[in-house]
This record gives sequence, structure tokens and C-alpha cells, in this order.
Amino acid sequence: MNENENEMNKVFEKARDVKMRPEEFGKLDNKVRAYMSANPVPVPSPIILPTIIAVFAIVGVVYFFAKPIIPKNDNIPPVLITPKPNQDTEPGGTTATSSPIKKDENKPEPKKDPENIPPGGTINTSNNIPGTSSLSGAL
Amino acid sequence: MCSYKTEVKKDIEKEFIGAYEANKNALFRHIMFRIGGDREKATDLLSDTFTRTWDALCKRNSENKEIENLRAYFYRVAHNLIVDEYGKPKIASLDALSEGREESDGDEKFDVIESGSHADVVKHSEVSELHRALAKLEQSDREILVMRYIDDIGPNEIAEIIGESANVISVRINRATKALREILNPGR
Repeated sequence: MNENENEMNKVFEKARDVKMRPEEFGKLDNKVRAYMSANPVPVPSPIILPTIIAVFAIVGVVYFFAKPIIPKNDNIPPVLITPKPNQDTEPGGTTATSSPIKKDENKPEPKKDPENIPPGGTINTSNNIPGTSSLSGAL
Repeated sequence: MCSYKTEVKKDIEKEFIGAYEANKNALFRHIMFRIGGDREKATDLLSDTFTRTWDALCKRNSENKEIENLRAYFYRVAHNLIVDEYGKPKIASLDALSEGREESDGDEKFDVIESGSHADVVKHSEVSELHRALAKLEQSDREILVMRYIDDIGPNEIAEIIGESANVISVRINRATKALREILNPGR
């Protein structure tokens, strides 16, 4: 490979001495420099980027302060929530519009006042089977 | 702001002028050997090479991009211009090739004679002979040999200029060298 390279370098050695004539240099120089002065470098203005940033900043600030001033509309009707199948609904009753009130487990249940027992029977509170009436003695 | 603009302009102009001064002679030689010794045409193609590169440099600057290797870019532009101009391989008659008459009018165009001494005359005839041999090669072989041995560009940079891999370029250099040797020393 090196022998090849050396041989070729020797062959081409003389060709490297081919030169431009002075008048050709002059012609080329005139043409290239004239073109360069006729078509100068367009430099991007350094003010463009800061301007874009400033505009975005102003828009951001205006939006931030303007948002709380927007009046709330209180006349919006309440949204009805469609009951889910496992939700407690009574036929003819009302639809729950909010989450059911949870019982406070720590709070003791108020004792029944014996005077408030309706006449004709007592309410069995121990065996409260859902869907059945527990009024003993009422029949 | 004005000084900033002036500085950027000066930097680009300085970079371009530096590369132009450093490469104009080599590029002229490159174009001359590739197109067959037409000096006037070579000068025109050379000025086109520089003006197009200047345009590209200005355009890229406006997009905040750079030309990394300006020398390789010059050669790429020159290569494209030559392919545009002389893209189709020249069909030379067999008679002309065998008699060595092809491109014989280009002999006087290779200026290597400085003092008119015997050495210069010998040099001139050797260059003419080489030119004739190169003219017989395929254009792709000629371009590779001119880049490698006249412009002294390495395979990697040639690959960058032509847009091929370095391995392909090495193979092509070998093939073109063989072909040139056959022409210079037939039957050896």
C-alpha cells in the first residue's frame, strides 16, 4: 500500500506545481470580493429574543392577576347525580345529592325515651332486618 | 448593538477570507485537472464555488448554524458544480485515445514553466502526460485520484466530500490507481 502511495505521489508531484496566473487571481479576487460586498452577512438582531421573552412575561403576569377577578356565577343549578345501583334509595323517596352522612362510631347512640314509645307496640331496634317491619305487638 | 453586528460580520468575513486564501490555488488545480485543463472555465467554476459557499455561510449564520469544515465544503460545492457541468462522461473516439490526441490542446494550459529551463520543460511535458492519462480514466476515478494525490486529501475527508464511506473511498482509490498505472505503463 505504501509503495503504491509513494509511486503515485511521485507521479503526481509535478502536477502540484500547476498554478493560477496573476491575471486569473485578479479576476477571481475581484469577482469574489464584489459578491461578498454586494451580499453582506445578515446578522440576526440581538433584540428579537429578549423581546419575545418580555412579551411572554407580560402576558403571563396579566393572566395571573386577571384570573381571581373573574366573578363567580352563583346561579348555576345544582348538578343531579344519578344514583349508583348500590346506593340506598327508597321508592318514592328522594335521590341522594350528596354523600351519605357517616355515623360517628365514637358517638353513643341516644337512648330511647320510654315516654316516646308510640302506643300499641315497641320498636325493636336489636333485630332490625331490612325490608321487614319490626313493629312487634302492633298486629 | 451595532458593534455586536459588526463583530459577527467581521468574524464570518475573516473566516471565509482565510479559507478562501488558503484553498483557492488548490481548488483551481483540482478543477483544472477534473475538467481537462480549460483555465477560463476553471476560474469561472472556482468563483462560483466561492460565491455559493459565501451564500451558504450567510444563510446558515442567519439560522445560527455553522459550516464545520469550510475546506471540505468548498470541495463539495466544486464537485457538485463539475458534476452539473460535466456530469455525463465524455465519449472519446478510439482513434483519438490511441493517438493520444485527446485533450492535446490543453497541454499549454498547465503553467509550470517558470524560468524556461530544461527542468521546467521536462516538468511541463510530464504534467501534460499525466493530464492525458487522467483524461482517459473514468470521471469517478479521475476525481478520486485528483483529490487524493494532487489535493492531498485523506480518504476520510474525501468520503465526507463525496458522501460515501471511507472504506468505499479506499477501494476506489486502489482501483483508480491500478487503472492509471495501466495507462502510464501499459503491459507492465
